[in-house]
Amino acid sequence: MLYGWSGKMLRIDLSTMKSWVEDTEPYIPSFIGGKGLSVKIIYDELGPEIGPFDSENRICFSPGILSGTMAPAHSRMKITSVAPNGYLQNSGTGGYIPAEIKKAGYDNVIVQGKSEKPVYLYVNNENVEIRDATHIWGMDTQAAQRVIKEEIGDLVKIACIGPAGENLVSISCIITGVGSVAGHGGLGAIMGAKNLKAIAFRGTGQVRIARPSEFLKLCKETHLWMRETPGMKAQSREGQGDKGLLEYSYQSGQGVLGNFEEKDASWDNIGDFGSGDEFYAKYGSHQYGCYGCPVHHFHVFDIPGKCRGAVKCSGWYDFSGPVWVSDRKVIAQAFILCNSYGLDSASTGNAVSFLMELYHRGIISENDTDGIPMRRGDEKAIFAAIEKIAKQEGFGKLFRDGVWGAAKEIGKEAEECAVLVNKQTLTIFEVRAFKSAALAATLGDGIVRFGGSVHELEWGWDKERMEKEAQECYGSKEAAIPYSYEKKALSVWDNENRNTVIDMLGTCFWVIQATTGTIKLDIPVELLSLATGRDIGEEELLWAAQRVLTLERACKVRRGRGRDRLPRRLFETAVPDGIFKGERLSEEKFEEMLDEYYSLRGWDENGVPKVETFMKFGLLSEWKIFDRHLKSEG
Amino acid sequence: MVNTLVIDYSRCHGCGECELACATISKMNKGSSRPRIMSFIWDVEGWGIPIACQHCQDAPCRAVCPTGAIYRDEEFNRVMVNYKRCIGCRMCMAVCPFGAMDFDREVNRVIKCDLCDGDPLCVKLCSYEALQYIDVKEQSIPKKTEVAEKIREILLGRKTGSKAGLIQE
Repeated sequence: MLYGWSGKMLRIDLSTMKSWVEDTEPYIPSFIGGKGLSVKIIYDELGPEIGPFDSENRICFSPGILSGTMAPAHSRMKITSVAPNGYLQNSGTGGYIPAEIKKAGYDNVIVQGKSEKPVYLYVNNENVEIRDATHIWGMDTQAAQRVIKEEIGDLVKIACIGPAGENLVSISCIITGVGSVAGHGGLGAIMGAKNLKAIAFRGTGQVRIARPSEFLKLCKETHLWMRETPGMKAQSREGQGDKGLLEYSYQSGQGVLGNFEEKDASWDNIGDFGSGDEFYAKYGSHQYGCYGCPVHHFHVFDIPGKCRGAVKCSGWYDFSGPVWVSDRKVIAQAFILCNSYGLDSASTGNAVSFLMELYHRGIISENDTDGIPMRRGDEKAIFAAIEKIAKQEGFGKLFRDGVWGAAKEIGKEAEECAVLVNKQTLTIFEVRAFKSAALAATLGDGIVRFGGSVHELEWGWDKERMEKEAQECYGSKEAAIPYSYEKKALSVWDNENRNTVIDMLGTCFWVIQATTGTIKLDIPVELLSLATGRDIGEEELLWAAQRVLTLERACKVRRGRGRDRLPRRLFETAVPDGIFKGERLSEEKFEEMLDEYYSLRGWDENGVPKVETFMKFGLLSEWKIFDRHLKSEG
Repeated sequence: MVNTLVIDYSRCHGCGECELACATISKMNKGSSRPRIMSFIWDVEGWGIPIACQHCQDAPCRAVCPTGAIYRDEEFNRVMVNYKRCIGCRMCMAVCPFGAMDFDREVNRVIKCDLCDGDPLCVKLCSYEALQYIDVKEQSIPKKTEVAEKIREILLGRKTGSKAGLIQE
């Protein structure tokens, strides 16, 4: 009997309106679960000729193995598909739906095909219904969820897209609940292309646990321990929550000013962020969290007459520095607007900051933006841009393909201002100062999860400890120092592996980072072996993670990915202000870092996985497909 | 001292940890994985309300039970089901005003909260103290305090700004 895994994957074909169940077990030895399953399925089933908006494209919703169990902070899933930029993309979300999918009895949900009219999916344990969604098409994400709940019942958990996804905007997100978002990558547009407004799940089953009493004991201990760690205490009811995050973004040098600009850029242009306590007292409603998590990381805000929604974590970065705003109300409101329209807030923040730079430099005028001057920090400009991009009206149409499309449309000068990695903008993070973040951004199509390396990110909080741990893990304390290049490739390599493991298990990367300081896997691994009854060690999981990452890369290479590049601007400009003022990213050293990373992964200088790498990870049949591709490319 | 399960609904954030813990421990001890406490979650608002047996003094389930299977256990101040007598007619479910009495298909009998024999796991794992296992006498104290404070403020004439003690110019 299979424990931990449910052993079933649900596949839905929207073209034929049919659904069936597949077996997970063959995938388990090599790809474990979660993200691993999706990457393998997409690698096997989607050739490079299939574009993101083709009906053949798959979108996989894969909860972690431990989602739906009592393991604290494990309600996470990865959504994987060929993204609008043409490459394989993963985007993660928490909330309640990952656990609900597991409780309904599925390890993975794969949606393929394309419906003729708008539909939504309703899965109640083994019953699968494809329902008409014409009446909710065009609704914002919160209203759509409410209508579905009225139709089915309050207990159903929903992931849906907003008008942005329906309009195939390539910076749209998938949202579940009030504020859990799979943002980066624009996967909302993939659901939109399939005419799939939402997926709704109700599960009343259980995840089978192999050794329940030990599992329960460890869960209990972990839960109580987590609550006592300093990182979690800060988030608790009496703690600070995210109140200090805006100041921290500036003090730690992580926040970005404008569109990675150097000229006329200073934090003084933005002004004071004001008191967090005051803002939370005035507009804060309450906190809430994901399913089965001791940390309630979301703050719900009620801005009377404007909006109501949740803001958390990096949400505070997206509409502050980049768009020259210091008013917490505007930042929260812009973020909630993005969530309601189903736009990825980070990419939308980038899009607005891109427009603001063009306006500031005189490349565009208000005539190009429907009479709205894109002045730096102008809240009217921000709200108008969000609405127009999502609804695809007026100048918003320029952004159907994100900043990449807009820059091409506007002209050469604008293209120089577009800071893009493989057609995608960067997460709001100062990659010029944080070197491992720069490396991670180029590898991950702009996504910088925890600055590429947790040591580097946390250096601002706790220098001594991070340097000591970096010395232990990577043999040099320089690995923790943001502006150093030393051992950065190794730390990014290690962090990517660890992040992939937690994506397979469903561990929340934020909680594990905040509780253990770095990504320590001992507890999740022990929970996994108690839950599944299999003796899967940390080494084996890290090995599987490398296998998955190799396959993910191979998938990208088949789709035309060559050596990774960063936009020119990041090498040519320096950090304009803050503690890393004047810090530059050296192109030469960056290339060295990249070469080092490729060799650690067993890829050649263009980032193509070598044959021996495939063999090392036992990817024989995958190599055959890859080899055919290489030969056809000549 | 007799403790009881007290729920402060305003503190619940709907993480569902209580129902997960209950399901896990119930599966282990009683073979049924249906939770005795259920957290109803409105994830669009970010809100949750846990529902569990209130262990009523004059319990309707106990009154209606045709075989007298439901009894009060004064040791833990709880309402319990004697399964030797229970015939599974589900009358208790019909009359429970909270819907706390549940039926589990796995074991084919009614199930309810038994306060984990005096050490409820859900309370231990509730991060925000929405669930408390306290002396019944203590339950009303926080609310009483709140009301008393309000009245005190009014009586002290907070609105006019004067407070007890020396008046400082």
